[in-house]
Amino acid sequence: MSRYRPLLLGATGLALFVLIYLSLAVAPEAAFFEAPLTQRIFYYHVPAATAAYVAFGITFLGSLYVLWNEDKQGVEPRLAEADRWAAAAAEVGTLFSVVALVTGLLWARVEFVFNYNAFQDPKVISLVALIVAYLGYFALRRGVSEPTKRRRLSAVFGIAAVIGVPLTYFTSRVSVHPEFLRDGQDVSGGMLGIMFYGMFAFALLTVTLVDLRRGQLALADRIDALEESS
Amino acid sequence: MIVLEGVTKRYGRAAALRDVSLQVPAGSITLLAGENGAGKSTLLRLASTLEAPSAGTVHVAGHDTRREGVEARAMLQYVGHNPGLYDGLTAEENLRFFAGFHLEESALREAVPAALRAVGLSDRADSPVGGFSRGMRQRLALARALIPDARVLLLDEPFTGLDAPSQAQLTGLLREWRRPDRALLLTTHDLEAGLALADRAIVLRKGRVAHESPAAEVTAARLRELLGGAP
Amino acid sequence: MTPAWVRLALKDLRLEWRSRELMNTLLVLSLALITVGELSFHDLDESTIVAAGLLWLSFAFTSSLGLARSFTAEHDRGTLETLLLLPVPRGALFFGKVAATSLLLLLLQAMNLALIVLLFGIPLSLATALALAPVLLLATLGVASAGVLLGAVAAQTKGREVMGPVLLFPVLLPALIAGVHATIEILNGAPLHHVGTQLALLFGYDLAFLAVAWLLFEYAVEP
Repeated sequence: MSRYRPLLLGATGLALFVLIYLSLAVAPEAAFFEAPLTQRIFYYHVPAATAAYVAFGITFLGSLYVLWNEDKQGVEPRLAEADRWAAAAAEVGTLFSVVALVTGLLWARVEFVFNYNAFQDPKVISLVALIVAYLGYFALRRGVSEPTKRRRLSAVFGIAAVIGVPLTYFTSRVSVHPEFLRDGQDVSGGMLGIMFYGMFAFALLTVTLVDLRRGQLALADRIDALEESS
Repeated sequence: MIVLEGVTKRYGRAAALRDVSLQVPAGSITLLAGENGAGKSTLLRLASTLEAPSAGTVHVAGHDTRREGVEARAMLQYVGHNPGLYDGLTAEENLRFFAGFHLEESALREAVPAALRAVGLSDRADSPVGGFSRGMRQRLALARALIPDARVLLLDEPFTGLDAPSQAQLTGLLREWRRPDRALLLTTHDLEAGLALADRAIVLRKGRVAHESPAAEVTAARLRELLGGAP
Repeated sequence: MTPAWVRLALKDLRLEWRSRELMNTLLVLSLALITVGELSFHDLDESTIVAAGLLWLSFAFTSSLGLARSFTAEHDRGTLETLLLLPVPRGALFFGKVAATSLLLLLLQAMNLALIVLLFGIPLSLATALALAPVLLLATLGVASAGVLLGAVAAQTKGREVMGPVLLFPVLLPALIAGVHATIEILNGAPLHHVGTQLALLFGYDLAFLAVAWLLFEYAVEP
């Protein structure tokens, strides 16, 4: 991964630059929205939420890998690596979840003004659930000092939480009156296109950030190892 | 009955056991000696299936502790530092609960009182364990271990905290337990008591096997030397 | 021979019956919650909504604490190891705990419901009570499964009992949401089939977590 890092950074930078340009200069004016200019935050909000879920997915896959291969012999370095991916992705995912939540709430406040009750929006509820799950993940990691045990327990929680968050989305969607699904309904083709591109750009950003963070964690682990052996 | 092959056990970066290979044959009583931190308790825990080796294999009564944990546990009994009894249950209830996973109800009716008698706790059968002293709990834990027809008995420091008469009683109990198809592995700091009971002695030093021989060929003094470090 | 998980569950129930330690703590907690709730929301018109909210709020807190406590107790006493030494598959330990804690939690919910009905003066017909039963049952089972798993995880951390609710919260949210909405409908007089979707979701939740928690349990409980 590190070999491709310069390429990854460059590609991400370019992709984001293009996104900014598209969202500000190219995107059609959203005439039917109350606040057309603020609407453009949408091109970052949805991608940020997507990024959060992508990161979550990485944590999930890392966790699965750890548990699946735990009792095999001689795979210790790979397990440690998978654990770092999971942990790095959790950090990046929390960041994007908060960004998604804040941008979403800001936009809703401007757009819907008095009609919006955030606590009844299934997407808000599931984002909050996601953030709480991540915080739990970090609390858990801080609470276990032995690396093998920390890795295993984080993996267990990582998998359990992954089941919980989509279930939260579905339960709240059914139970709550879904009035707030406008994102997909009133938008024109051009806007959707830019949104999808935004999702791609942010997915790229996620992978880059997770990789960077994972690299930092790997360095930290190596320093620990050197310290201990001296 | 207990076979370790190339066993290494790591906690984080520290290795408690390094490439240990040894056998405890059926019909024997083996003493595992070593300083604190030498790896004795770890070895016992690996044999008990409570933990799995980082490398190598552990077989108990022919079953791999990692892959056939349930089968292995059906054949062994482990008594560690912590008696692990339920304070809210009486001595008898504790024994019935745990032994009930190994024996049928009908067998328990006789086996439980017999076990209590063997360790001298018959008069406390109906007392909640919460009120027991440490020594009494140890005895009860031992009674629990002796009820099922275990092939392998793993005892971690069974003599600790026992006075001379109790030690003698325990030694007698263990000798009685011994049979050609059973193996006993115990650790103790009391090397004299251990050698009196055992017919084989193994010394662990810093996670490796430093010595292995019939008990008759070593003295407690010699063992202490071997533990210490100077080759 | 009685199935292993049954013996394990009975052991937990018997221990709890003798000391009533857990139930007392949880009962006091839920009483406090409900009383404060009643005092705070006294003047609101939508008593069914408040009642449902308090019932499930209490459910959330008591189950998180109760489930975490169940494991830290075993851990502390050293009995967790002796349980792990039993010649039974880890799944038996899992189901035993789920069965015992579900029963205790259900008992707690019943008491809470009775109290809430009394305090809020909500008419509770037999039909309503019967309609609420499956909702509570399904929610409890699912939460107990996830809770036994995460309680085992929490018991191994430094935070211990406090960690339990933290870990459990995102995972019990679906049960909470479905439960509250179904309860509101039922307390307002809706028949059971009106909340069919909620029940289906709870059922799906149960299936998912029973399966997942059962599979992950041995990893959580390994020393």
